[in-house]
Amino acid sequence: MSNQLLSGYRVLDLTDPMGYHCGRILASLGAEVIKIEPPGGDMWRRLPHQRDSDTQLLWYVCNTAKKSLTLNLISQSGQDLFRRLTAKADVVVESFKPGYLDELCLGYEDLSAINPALIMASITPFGQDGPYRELRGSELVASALGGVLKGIGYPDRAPVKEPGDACIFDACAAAFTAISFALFERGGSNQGQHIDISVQEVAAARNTVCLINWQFDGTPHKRSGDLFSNGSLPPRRFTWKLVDGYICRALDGRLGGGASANPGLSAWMDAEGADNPLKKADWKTTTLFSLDSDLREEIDAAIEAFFRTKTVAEVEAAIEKHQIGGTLVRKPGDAVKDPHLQERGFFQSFRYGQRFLPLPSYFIDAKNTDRPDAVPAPEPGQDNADLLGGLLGLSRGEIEQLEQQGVV
Amino acid sequence: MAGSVDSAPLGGVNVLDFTWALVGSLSAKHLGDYGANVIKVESMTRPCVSRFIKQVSVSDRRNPNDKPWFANLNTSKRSFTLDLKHPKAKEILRRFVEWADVVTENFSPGTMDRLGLGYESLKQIKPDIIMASGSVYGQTGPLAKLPGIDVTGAALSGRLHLSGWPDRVPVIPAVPYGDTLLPKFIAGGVAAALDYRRRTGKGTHIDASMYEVLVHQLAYEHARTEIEDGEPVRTANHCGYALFQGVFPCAGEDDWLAITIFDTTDWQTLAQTLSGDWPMAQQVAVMSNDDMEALEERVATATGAWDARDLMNRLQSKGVAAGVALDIEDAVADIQMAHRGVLKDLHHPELGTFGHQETPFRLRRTPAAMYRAPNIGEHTDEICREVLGYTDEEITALKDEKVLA
Repeated sequence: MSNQLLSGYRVLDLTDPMGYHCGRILASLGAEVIKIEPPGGDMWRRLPHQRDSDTQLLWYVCNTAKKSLTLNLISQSGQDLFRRLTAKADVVVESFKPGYLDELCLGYEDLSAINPALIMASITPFGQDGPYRELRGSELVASALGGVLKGIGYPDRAPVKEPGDACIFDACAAAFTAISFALFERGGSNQGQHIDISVQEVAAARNTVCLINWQFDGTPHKRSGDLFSNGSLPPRRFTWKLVDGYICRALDGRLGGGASANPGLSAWMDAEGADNPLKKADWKTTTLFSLDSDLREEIDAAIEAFFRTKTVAEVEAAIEKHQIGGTLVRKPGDAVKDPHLQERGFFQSFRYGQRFLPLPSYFIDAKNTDRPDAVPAPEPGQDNADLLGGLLGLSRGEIEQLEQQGVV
Repeated sequence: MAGSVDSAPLGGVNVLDFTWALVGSLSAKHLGDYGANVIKVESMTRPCVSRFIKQVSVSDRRNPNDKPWFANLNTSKRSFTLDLKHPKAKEILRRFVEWADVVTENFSPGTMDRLGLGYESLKQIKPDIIMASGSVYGQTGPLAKLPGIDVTGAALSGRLHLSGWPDRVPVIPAVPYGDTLLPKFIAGGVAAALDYRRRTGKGTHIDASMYEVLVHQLAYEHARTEIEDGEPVRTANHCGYALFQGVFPCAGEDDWLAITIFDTTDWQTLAQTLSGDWPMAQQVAVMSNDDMEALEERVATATGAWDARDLMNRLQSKGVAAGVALDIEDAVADIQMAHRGVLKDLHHPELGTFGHQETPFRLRRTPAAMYRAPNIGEHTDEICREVLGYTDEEITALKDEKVLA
C-alpha cells in the first residue's frame, strides 16, 4: 500500500460530470476510488455534442486513477451487490438528483444502516432539500442562480461564464474538504455522516466583497468589461493588450500591496523613447487610488499605448531586465512547458490510447508521503473480476451469470 | 446516530495560524468554523491588509476592527498579537508550537524559515507537527519566491486567457476564484493529514499552490492543446458537452436567463416554449459557428419577450436547466438559499449584527459552529494565561517590552 494521506480508504464513485473531480482529488491522495458505471459504461465517456475535438478526452481527464466496476443499479441484484460493497467502503460520492438513490433503497439512510461508519457526499446543483430540490442544473445555471454569473463580462453584452466547469470543480473541492473533515471526525466517533454540497451555495460563498458592499452601502455591482471592479472601489485595469497576447498588471505596479514596480516600467519606457507620464508620480507613496484622476487617465493611456506595441517576448525580457512587474497571460498549454512546474514534477505522462498525455498529477504535495502514480482512466468494468471476485468473493461462474443477466 | 447533531468535527485540534489575506484567512476559517481551536497570530507592527482596506463607508481606514470583509474571512478564531521579530518572541513561539497540532501560513516561501518557524525547526519541537503552507507558486521551484494574488494565478494557469468573449479583451470576474479554491485544498489537506497522523503517528508539510490547482481545473483545456492544432480560444457561454447553451436577455433591464440544453428532448421543449419555426435538434448538433450565432440571436429575440423568472419556471417545469442570473444580494435572498440559510447573523462589536457567510460544506451530523471574528489582540491575555502558562506579572512585562504588540 502506498504511503499517502488517504491510503487505505475505499471510495465508491457514483458521479456524473457534476462530481467527477472529487474522486480524482481523493485518488491523488491515495484512496482507492471505484467508478460505478452502468454495463457498457458511463454515457459521458463519449460526448454526444462535442463538435470540434476528441469526444473521449473529457471523461478521461476527469477520471484518471479510478477503477471501474460496471453494475446495473436499477436491478435488484445490482443493488444488492452495491450494498455488499458499501459494507466494505469508507466513502460514497454521488451526484444523482436528490431522492434518486433513496428510491433505489441506496440512499444515506439505507446505506448507513448497513455501514454506520459510511460517509456519503452528495454533490448537486442546489442541495438535497428546498424548493429547488427538483430543478435541473448545470455549471452555467448554478453560476447564474449562485450570484456569480451576472457580474462577469461587458455591460453591453450578456454576462459571460467562467472558463470550463469552474463552479462544479469548486464544489468538488468543497466535497473533498468536507469528506476529509468527516474522515477525521469518524476516527474518534466511529460514525459516518451525510455531506450535502450545493454548487449554487459554493459559488455564492465566494462573493463576499460585492455582498458586503450591498449590505452596508446598498452599492450594486455592475459588469465592467475588461476593467476589474468589485464593490465601491472604482474599476481598474489589470489586463493590457500586447501585439501577440496580454500582460496582467496593476496600473500602479503593485501586487496587492508592497513596493510599486512602476519605476521599472518607467525606466523601460524611457529606454524605448516612449511618452512617459509615470515620472510625474512618486511611486514610493502613490497608490492607484491616491493618484489624481486626470493623471491616472493620462498614465493609463500611455501604458496602454506602450504595451500595444510590445510582444510577449519583449515583455518577458523586460520583466527580467527592468523589473517592470506583472504576469504575462499564459495560454493553456504553456503550463506544461514551464520550468518551474517541471522542477516540481507537477505534470506526469498518462497513457491515452496510442499516445501519452502530460496531465497534472498531485493537487497538494505532502512531504514524506508518496506522489500519486500516473494511472490512466479505466476501461468500463476493467476491475470487475478483482472487485466482484477478490473483494466480494463471487466465483467466475457467478460473475458470468451476472454478466448474462445484465447486472454487471 | 442518523439525525442527531454532534459537536464540530475538528474539536480539540489546535491550530497556530500565521495566515493573512484571502487564501490564508479562509483556510484557517474553514478549520475554525468546524471546531478547531484557531489562534490567529497578528501584529500591529505588520497588520494584515484586510484589517485596513476600507471598502464600505462605515469603516475607518485606521481602525483594524471595523471591516466587514475581515469579519467574514476570520470567523471562529481568537487573536493574539506578537511581534515575531522581537528576541523574546522565540520562547512564546516555542510554547505555541508545543501546544499546536497544526501550523498554517501563506507567507512568501522562505519567510517561515527566516523566522525560525520552518518545517524542520517545527519538527524539532513537535516531531508530528502538521504544517500547511499556501502560496501562488508553491514552496519549491525557480519561481517560488515570487509574490502573487488571485489574478496572478489566473494569468499563469490559462484561466484569464480563456475568460470572456473571443473577440474582446479577456475579463477578470469581480468574484475571486483561486483565492477561494486553494483554501479548500489546504483545509481538506490539513484534515486528511490529521487523520494520517492518527493512523501513522507521523506529521507532514503540505505545500498547496494556487497555480497548480487552477491548472487542474482546466486540465481538459490543457490536454486539448496537446491533441489539437490551433490556439485555445475563449468560448464565452458555450459548453462542449451540451447541445446548446447561452445566456439570453429577458424583458427587464439587465435581466438574463441562463439556459443549458443537454439533449434532443430539452431542445424540443425550448422550441415549443418559445414557439416559432426552429431547426431540429439534429441540425443544431452540427451547426457551423455562424449558423449557431444566428440561432442564438433568434433565441435572444424570442426570450426578450419573457419575464426571466416566468421563463425559468416554465422551462424547469419541463425538466430543462434554466436559471435567472442573479446579483449576489438577490441570490442569498432567493427562495432556495433563503431556505437553506447561507447567512448567519452574528453580533460584531463595532459593526453590529449582520449576516455572515456560512462556509458551504454542510456536514449533516457535525455542522459548523461559527462565531464572530476577533478584534486584533482581543484574546492575547487569556491565551497567555490558558495556553502559554504565563502569570499576570509576566504578561505585563511582555507588554511593557512590546513583545505582545
